[in-house]
Amino acid sequence: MKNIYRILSLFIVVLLASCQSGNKNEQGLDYQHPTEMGLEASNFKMPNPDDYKVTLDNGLTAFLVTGKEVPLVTVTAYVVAGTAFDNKPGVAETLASILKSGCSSVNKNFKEEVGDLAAQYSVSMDQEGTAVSLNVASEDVAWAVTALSGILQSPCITSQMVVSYKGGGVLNAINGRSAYDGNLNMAVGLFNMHVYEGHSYATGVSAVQANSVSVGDVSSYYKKYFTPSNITIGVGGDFDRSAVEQLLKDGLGSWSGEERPTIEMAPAISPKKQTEEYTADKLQSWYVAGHALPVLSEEEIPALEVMNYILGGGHFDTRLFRETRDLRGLTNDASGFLTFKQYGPGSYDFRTYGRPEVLGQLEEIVLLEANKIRNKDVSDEELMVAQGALADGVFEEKFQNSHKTAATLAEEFNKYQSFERLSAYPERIRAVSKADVKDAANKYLMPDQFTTIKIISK
Amino acid sequence: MRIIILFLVSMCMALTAHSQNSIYELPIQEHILDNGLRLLVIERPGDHRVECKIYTDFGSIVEEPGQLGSAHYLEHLMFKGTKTLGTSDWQAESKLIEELYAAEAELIAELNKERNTLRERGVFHGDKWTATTPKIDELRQKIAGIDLEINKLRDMGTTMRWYQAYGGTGLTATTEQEYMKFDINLPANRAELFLRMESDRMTNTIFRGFDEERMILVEQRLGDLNRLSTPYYEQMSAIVGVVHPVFWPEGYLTDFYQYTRHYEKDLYERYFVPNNTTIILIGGVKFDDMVALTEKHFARLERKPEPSETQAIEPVPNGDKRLVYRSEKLRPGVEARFLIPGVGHEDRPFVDVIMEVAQRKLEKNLSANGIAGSVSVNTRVVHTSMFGVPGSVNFEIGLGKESDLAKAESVLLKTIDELKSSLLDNELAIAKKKLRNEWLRTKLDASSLNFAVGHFEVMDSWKTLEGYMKARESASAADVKRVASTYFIDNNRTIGIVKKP
Repeated sequence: MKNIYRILSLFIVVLLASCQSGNKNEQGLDYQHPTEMGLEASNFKMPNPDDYKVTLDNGLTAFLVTGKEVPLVTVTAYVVAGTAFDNKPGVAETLASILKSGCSSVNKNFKEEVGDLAAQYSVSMDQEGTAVSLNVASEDVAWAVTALSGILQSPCITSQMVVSYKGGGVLNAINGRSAYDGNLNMAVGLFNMHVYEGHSYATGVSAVQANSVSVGDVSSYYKKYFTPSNITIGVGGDFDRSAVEQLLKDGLGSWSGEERPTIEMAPAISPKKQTEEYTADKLQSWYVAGHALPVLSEEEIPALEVMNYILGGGHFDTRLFRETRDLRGLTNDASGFLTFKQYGPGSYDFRTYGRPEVLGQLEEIVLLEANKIRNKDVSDEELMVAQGALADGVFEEKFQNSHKTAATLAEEFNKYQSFERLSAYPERIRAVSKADVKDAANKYLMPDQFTTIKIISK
Repeated sequence: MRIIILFLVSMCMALTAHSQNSIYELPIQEHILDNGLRLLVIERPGDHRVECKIYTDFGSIVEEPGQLGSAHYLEHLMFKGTKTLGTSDWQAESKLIEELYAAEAELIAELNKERNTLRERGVFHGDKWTATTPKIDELRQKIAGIDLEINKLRDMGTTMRWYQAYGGTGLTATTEQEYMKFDINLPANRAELFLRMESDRMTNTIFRGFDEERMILVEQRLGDLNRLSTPYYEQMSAIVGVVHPVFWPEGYLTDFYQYTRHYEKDLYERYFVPNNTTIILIGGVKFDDMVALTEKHFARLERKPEPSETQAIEPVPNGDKRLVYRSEKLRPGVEARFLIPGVGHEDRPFVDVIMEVAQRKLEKNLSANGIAGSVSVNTRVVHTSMFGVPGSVNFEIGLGKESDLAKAESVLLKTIDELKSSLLDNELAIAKKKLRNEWLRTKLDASSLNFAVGHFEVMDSWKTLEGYMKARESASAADVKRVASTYFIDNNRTIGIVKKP
């Protein structure tokens, strides 16, 4: 009798299992959950910077990363020279505009040559650094290194060039409380204008400020910061390493300059609660809110990055994105942006936009979610996703090809003169705990102290 | 001695040509599953990442008037999870979904029945035109109520979450006139995650949060319309092409409120089938491994009837057209557009060369005539610049002042005429070098290269990409002259003028 029960029980179990399995197949539920797929750990190893490092006698350092992907080369010079380091508003920006022309004492027809060689040339400058970059066919690498050497050593700091800079940024794009062109960049510009008001980290130069800049101002700024020991060059792509090393020696080896300048720490900015409204003649309205951040240590940054990744890290699965877009259809995007600085205040801000009638709702959700992450632990799953995304995704991508690797190494060395920070990054991200995330939120996210900018379309 | 030098020079030229041609060669390996799904792999040994994209031969050219943007909308809906990811209780949700579709079927029947009540008869109705009846409102409320219940079971964001958790970057999707694609860049040893997720998305997508997502399209459209040039470009496209949907915009605001789940489901079921799909993987993976994994995740899907393509055939152009667009704020300008053939036609590669030549010529001629302005010679229609069907080449000049309009138009037309007659050797050489370097930049970046291959596959065939690039490299002055003379004719021309009211 027992056996009959056993056989019957077994039969029922098999029948149930087969029914369940049939159900699964019919409904497509036989897909393994990603966490159960047994995906291997990423096998990425960060390249050893010493394998690529070259130091000229005058202290200029370069990272030469060869790769045979395609016959192209990118040469980029990183300089610790930012808009926050000048003594007078507009001086650094004027130099940046001269660098953008590509004009130097050895190359007056730079733009024409860039066109003829189908090269790409770019210059960027933020509060703490400048990058000057050329991308050319491998056959033109000698021209690129020579041209860049000329631009770095003898840019056309002439009265004609200085006068031609008329200022830029948000200061020239508003008329009182009216924004000429409502958009997200404008809202971010206004946010920075209010947060950094009167501070050396403020951005944007008015026409009046630009007019007061002299050749002497630009020359002395240039001499102080454009010096071999303050510059790092990254060369990535398909090139002959010894030939490029020689080109760098020929072009920059005899350049003597000042010592690497000491950058003084800029004063901190205390968050200040304020709301500033502007108007625009558009179909949507924009919201940017946040505050300045102090200079953070490398140990503090990972927890804050993980926290922001969960809250609003600029991707499709953040808390803000789900609440504003997925669940309510209010906006195309709502994200949080962390900007860390080395010598002065960075910022943490939230940006969103939508049809004018939903701006209030968007603001409520941003504040609600910012408060929520301060008061309650994130989930294990949220932590795991953020850590994987930052340590295996964002970090690894910096080294995807020889061009990116050269840029990453050169920029890092230019800023920190070492690779300790960069190489420790993945482990620091993986070590972040739920308590660290909550602590970071409580320490560095202050929704009750937000500076809020609204551009409202009528 | 002279002969030897000539021989050496010609050898050198031949070698240069060979080495230039070799940059277009791609080590693509292909495997086609029994169900028709195509897998293309470019192995890049040593690359620690893999760029993964899945392409469907489907886009806005299959849309109907009144439903413009529905292809793009489907892409949004395909981020809403599946039967296996995105819900806390599939059994309960599936019952609610049945109710939802039944209610919507009732709504569609009511809309059809009331068609003469609802028909739009006005002209200046604005963007928010709607008409309704009490019964229709009631059905819409019923649908919203069921959706609220479904929302309680939703686990939002899961389609993206697991890619990110395992180091995915560049997660996005794009829908244009002729393709839809989903993209992710992963650590190379996690490529299987892509195959599992996309197989699921292709089979089990559930349209969650339908009405909320509809508003995201509204938001994106408002963003487009915030650019002052958008309505002007849409008017230009509307008269450059007569019938072809490639020239239609990505949906009007009035269209977005008309989409139904039934319409979107029909598109999904017809086009998202293995025999209409191409997967491309580029990076540190091995072809054989990827074949095995693709078979594992996709072989179970059944081959379905081949989806239909648009039947539209653009009539032969037969008129010199002109649009005058009046705007208080838009920068004054003048442009000329001409219909050009699509990829797959032998003349299309030479249009790329002509664009580069024309860009520089036009800049020089404007400057020589003392006209301050910017030049853009491009082939953009909506957001895309290459099609497997006819498109247009656009010679655009933006001006500093309106008083230069007539003079600028004259310079523009003379410059276009120059393309048919005289061309300097160095103009051609510089244009080719520009295109060559652009190609190299594309090839360097795994994502850009993946798109180039996939785009050719949906427009024509991935196998024609290499030939297309080599044709550009071999273009002669005679080719430029012939193609310019064929297409840049009065009866194929549309002039656009932007000026103050």
